[in-house]
Amino acid sequence: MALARGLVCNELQPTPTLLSYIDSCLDCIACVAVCPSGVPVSDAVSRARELLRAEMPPPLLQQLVLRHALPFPDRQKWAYPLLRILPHRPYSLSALPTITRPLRPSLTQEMAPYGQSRAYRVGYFVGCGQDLLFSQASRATIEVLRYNGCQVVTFPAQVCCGKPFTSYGQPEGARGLARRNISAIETAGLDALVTDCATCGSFLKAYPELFSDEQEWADRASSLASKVMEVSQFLVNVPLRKGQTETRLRVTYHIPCHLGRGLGGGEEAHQVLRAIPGIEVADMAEADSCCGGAGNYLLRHPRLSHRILERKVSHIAAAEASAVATSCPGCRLHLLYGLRRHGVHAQVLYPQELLLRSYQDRG
Amino acid sequence: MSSRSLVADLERVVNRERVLSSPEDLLCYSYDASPSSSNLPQAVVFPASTQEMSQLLGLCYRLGVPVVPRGAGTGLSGASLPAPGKSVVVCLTGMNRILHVDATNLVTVVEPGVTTGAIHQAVEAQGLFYPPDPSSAGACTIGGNVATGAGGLRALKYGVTRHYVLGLEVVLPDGEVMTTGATTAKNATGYDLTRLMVGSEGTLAVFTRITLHLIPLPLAKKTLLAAFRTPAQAAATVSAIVSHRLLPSTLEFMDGTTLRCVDAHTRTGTPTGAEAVLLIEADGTPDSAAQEAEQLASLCREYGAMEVRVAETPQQAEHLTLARRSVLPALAHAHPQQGLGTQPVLFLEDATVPPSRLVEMVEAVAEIGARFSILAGVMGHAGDGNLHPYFIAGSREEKDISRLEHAVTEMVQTALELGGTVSGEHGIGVSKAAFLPLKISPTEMRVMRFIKDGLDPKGLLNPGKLFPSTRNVATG
Repeated sequence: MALARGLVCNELQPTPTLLSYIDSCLDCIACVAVCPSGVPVSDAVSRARELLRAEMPPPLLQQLVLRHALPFPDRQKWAYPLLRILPHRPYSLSALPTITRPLRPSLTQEMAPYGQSRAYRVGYFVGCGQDLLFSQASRATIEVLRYNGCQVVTFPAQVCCGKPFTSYGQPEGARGLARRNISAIETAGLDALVTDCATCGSFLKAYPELFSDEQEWADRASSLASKVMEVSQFLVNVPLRKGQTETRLRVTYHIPCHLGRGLGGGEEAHQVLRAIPGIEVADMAEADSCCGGAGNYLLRHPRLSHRILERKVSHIAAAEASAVATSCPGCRLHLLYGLRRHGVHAQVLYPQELLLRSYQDRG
Repeated sequence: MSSRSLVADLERVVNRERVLSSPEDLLCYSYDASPSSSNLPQAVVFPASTQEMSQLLGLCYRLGVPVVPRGAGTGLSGASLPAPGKSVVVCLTGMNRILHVDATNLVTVVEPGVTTGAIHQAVEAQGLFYPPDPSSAGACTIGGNVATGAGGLRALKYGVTRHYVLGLEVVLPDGEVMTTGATTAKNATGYDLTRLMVGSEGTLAVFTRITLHLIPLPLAKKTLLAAFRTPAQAAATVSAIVSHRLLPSTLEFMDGTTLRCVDAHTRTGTPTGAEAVLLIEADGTPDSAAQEAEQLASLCREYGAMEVRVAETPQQAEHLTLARRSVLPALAHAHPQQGLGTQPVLFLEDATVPPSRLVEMVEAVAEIGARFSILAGVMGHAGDGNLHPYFIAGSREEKDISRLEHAVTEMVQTALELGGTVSGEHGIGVSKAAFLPLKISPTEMRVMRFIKDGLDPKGLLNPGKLFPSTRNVATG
């Protein structure tokens, strides 16, 4: 905070050292949550990133990815292997999962609810990382919504939410994508816009802040943002249809930063887990503390990221669960990696995947 | 000597990863939670052991470089701000182990960089209790608590940090290591150097190990909140509670200005028309706490409370304490923020008066605030008279700061006239150094200086703190 202030007040120069410090912020929002004075640290860090990146643009490769891959869903699968060939020790090549077959191209625009008549018309916001790495989980999200009386709508013109641009201090890039998403989604007549990526969700919620100087877009962003929910937050208010078949499993839940503090959620995901017969939910110490993944933080700051991850993994191990549930592809990737690295045997999945199994397994 | 050669020397004593010297790093260790202006140190060092601390202080002593000890930087009096000119900040947050909790002998031994909240957690897990609880317990370090003689919300019944420090391991300014006190509750062997160190604000020695006394954790707690139409009614209730020989663990006061700020920020549902509120907690066994709470509630009603709420569940208790816990954020937002460069300034003081003079103090603060046209109010620990009068101005501009400083001076003078003291729990640091002679007689001052000169003949340990200086240290 002092550094951001020092930069804005011209007490500090935009040096590489300063950039490395500002850049080491996880954006986990923990400081904002505990600050007795309610200081908007995240905003200050974003502003500092913007000022610093004006002087020191991101490396060429990152710029290429930001400008030429992120805004184009069909190009992302070509950009991803670039990440895999980069040396970022100690993240080894094999640590990154291979790409799953993205769901996005095969999605129909409107999917009817199962069985009953339509109760809600719900948009599904496809997260990039989610679709690239865990598309089977995206499918589960959609199916669970359909089992709960939702007509699920997807949007061919939807693009990346824009969050990665802000990590590199480029709010203009984020605004461009936000405008495209708002235009693509706002006319669909939705009851809710649901996502299974906590980071996308919290960034969509924050769209209005991107347009503080443009009233018209701010209004449109606000009306979209008011519909945004993480999938568990939506499901528990439906009300949620309980699981049928028993799943004997001890599960612990990691609350993603952008769900717990970003969207004020987490408790709802526990409720989804408890709606599945046979599931035993084990408490985890510091369940809402960051796993260290934080988007591409794990690649930018591997050492810090590992130290944070180690603590998380030890809490998971102490919970003695055979599965860790969470609600963010970034966390999921990082936890998968951390558990394997430390030899802790537990699967990582989303609550809605377990719920879907319980709906579908018949005897 | 140049900064560069100083840094090189420091790196010979501690690992170079634990020596910081870039402008960005130095800025981050140049301020604390006080509004005092500050200076950049030449280096910040994080020792990891008593031995490193000893070598570090020995080195600085030989080189004649001032040393400023620092914990988490949550201090409110500027006691850990870098000295004007050259200085090395010695930051103790790396020495943060709880070495042991001894449930048989009721003691815990900790390093100075442990947060007070971590001590609470560790001992309460074993059914033990370390009562001092400064509001910043989640962030502040025990070393800083001992150095400033920190208090908290439970002082009326349980006392302050001073009452729980049994022994210390300290490093003297020349690098020599000394242990004081004992690990037993009773100890009658020579001068009480432990107590001399408590509240010494880093001017005599640097702590490296702290032995704390513990007591059994009370089994139950009962919370109530009473609203009054006038501060006088609340004050009369406080006196009645004390004279009825009741000893609540918490007895907190908030005036009308504070209540309005809090309600604007967090909807706490304070009754409209309330000009004073008492937040009271009784603890003990479930029966004794409930019985005491009942007596307290009826006393509040007897002395004119317009409303008394008694919490029946932990959630209700949480809600009742919400207003008190929201005071700082509420005050911070009492003036609209105008961006990163221009922040409102809050002077949160801790002048203390005998509990019977509460009303006079509240009225005086309101009058001073009105006269200087700044937002002013009082909240604080009514049970022990340790109040937090505060003054808020819209900016750091010189005219605003000057008005604040004049208001604080008048407030301190009032507190002293009422038989009170300059600081109850935040310490003197730089921000109150000028007031020290108002409270301390020339003889007492001479003895204090004698002790300081005897232990720190070169005057290198935390210079410019505690003692009033001919230089105006507050503005650096």
